[in-house]
Amino acid sequence: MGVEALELQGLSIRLGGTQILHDVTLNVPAGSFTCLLGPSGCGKTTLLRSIAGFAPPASGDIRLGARSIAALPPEKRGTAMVFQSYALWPHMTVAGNLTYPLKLRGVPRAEREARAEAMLEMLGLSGYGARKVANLSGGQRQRVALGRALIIDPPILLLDEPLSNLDAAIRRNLRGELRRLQQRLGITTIMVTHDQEEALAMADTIVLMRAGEVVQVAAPQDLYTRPADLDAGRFLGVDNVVVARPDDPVAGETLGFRSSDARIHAQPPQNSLIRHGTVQDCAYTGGGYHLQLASGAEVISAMSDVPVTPGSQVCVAVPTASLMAFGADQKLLPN
Amino acid sequence: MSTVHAPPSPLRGMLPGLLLIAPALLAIALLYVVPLARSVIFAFVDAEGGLTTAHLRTAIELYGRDLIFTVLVTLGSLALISVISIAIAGYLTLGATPWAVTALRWLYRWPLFIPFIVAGQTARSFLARNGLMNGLLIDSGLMDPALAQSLLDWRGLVLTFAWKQVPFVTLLLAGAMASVDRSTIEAARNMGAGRLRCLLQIVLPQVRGTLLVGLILSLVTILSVLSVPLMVIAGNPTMMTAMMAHRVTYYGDYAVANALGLFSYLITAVAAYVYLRMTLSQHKEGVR
Repeated sequence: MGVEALELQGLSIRLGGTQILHDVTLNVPAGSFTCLLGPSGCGKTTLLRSIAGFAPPASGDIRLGARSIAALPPEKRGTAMVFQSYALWPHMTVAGNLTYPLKLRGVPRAEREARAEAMLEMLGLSGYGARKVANLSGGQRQRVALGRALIIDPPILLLDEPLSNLDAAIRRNLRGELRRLQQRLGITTIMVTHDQEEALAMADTIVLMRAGEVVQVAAPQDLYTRPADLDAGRFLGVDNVVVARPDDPVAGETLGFRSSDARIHAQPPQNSLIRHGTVQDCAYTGGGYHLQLASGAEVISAMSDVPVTPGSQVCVAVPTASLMAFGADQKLLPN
Repeated sequence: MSTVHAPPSPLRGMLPGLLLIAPALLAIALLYVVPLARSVIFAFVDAEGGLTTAHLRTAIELYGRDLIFTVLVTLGSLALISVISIAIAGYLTLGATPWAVTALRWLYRWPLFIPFIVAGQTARSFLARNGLMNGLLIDSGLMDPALAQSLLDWRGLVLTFAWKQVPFVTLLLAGAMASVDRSTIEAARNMGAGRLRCLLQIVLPQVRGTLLVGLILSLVTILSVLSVPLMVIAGNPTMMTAMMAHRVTYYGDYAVANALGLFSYLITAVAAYVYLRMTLSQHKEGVR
């Protein structure tokens, strides 16, 4: 099966009387890596499950390539999903898990075994075929789950928080591995995650969701520097919001920035947002010192290379390029 | 002055524990182990108190056919129980029509609350030549009245045992299926398996231990029920329970009845062995 594009048209989903998704329209180009990002309960997993056929749409259409798959049962859709809990079949061996999808497709035994062997090699699990899945580590299970999904050569790969059950180190490794594998195979991939770092590092396109709606669809850099509104910005780490003043370098109702962009200066630099304040708290965070400043009624988080005694008066500056201006409706204002 | 602490004897340490479990142990010994051992021993003891295999030989000679009949009816019942229980529990787990699932969940347990003797009585009036089933079939034009026959033979036994035991096995099985990780079923469907394949190749292998427990408990029940064979089946061959009762009530011949009982023990012992072996190997796998 070739790689195919996915199209969602006005998709709405109700589960048990609650509207989970509201009129979601989305185009996922063939061969792209798209992340569905959002806080818990925003409907991202439901959206993924509806593509796989586990959440029937109340209205709207799901198209894979040229055909509509919205009315098909899960087993007829041909999508391949990797579950958060891996969902490996505990009564089968590793090889059994990999070959079962092929068996369902009537692939002869010899070819099944050869393909499972090749898949294990690709996943760096050669020699693990005869093991019970209960005897694998979390990372190994994740690889087997991925292999099971890829072995059918699906037109689209759906990943439901595939890395969230793993340790931080394995997670970072697998993140790179997964991305390289996706690029090598060129398979259309949709991944659900609530981890913005993961989404930024892996995706071509990020779909930011909130309360069952798509808030923004953008490339990682664009999403990070130009979030659609204040809430999106907050979710993406914009932890400072100050009321704009007439002498600020950017016009708007409120200005947002990340504490990593706010630095302490002895002399206020040019072309920056400047605020003065009293240091309330100073904590070492490894790379530098994290400060909490009281500036009038506002509290500002900032970074400093050197420790600052609480109570001292400092000047904090944020480069214009790092500022995001939001209007009265909390939407991002154009530059 | 120093006090010497002698290490307490192991028996002394165990004494409070032994005292605590003594009533339970005593009850098991008096009510279960002693009668069981007695009946096994008396199957091999003759009138003068010497050892003999005569009772055993008499039992086989007179009731060999009943023994085989019992084994076949039991296996047939267990097969039918498995098929129906798997179908019902499977539908309860994988069914896509909510109202049908709810209705089935409500209905299937009813026979659990009906005593065997009533089940036997009901079977009798339902399965006889001019019973309710044939009446319905003839009235609805599905069967020629000339073809009506009584099912009050081995078929009646199998149907009655299955009818009575299916809810019990289904109850166990549906519970086990409900606790199977739902995502393993979804993963199979996602990979292209239809509902029936999911049931047989994904769900059932994960709950086969529970199915086996249900079947073994049903086996023991079937081998001990007297009322159903007495109600449903007339004449020979019949179930061993009926023959044992016959031997005791008509001849006062406890020795041959005990010898017959020995065969029941043997059959259930085989089942118990299979069950223990399976749970032990599962336990080992879990430990590994």
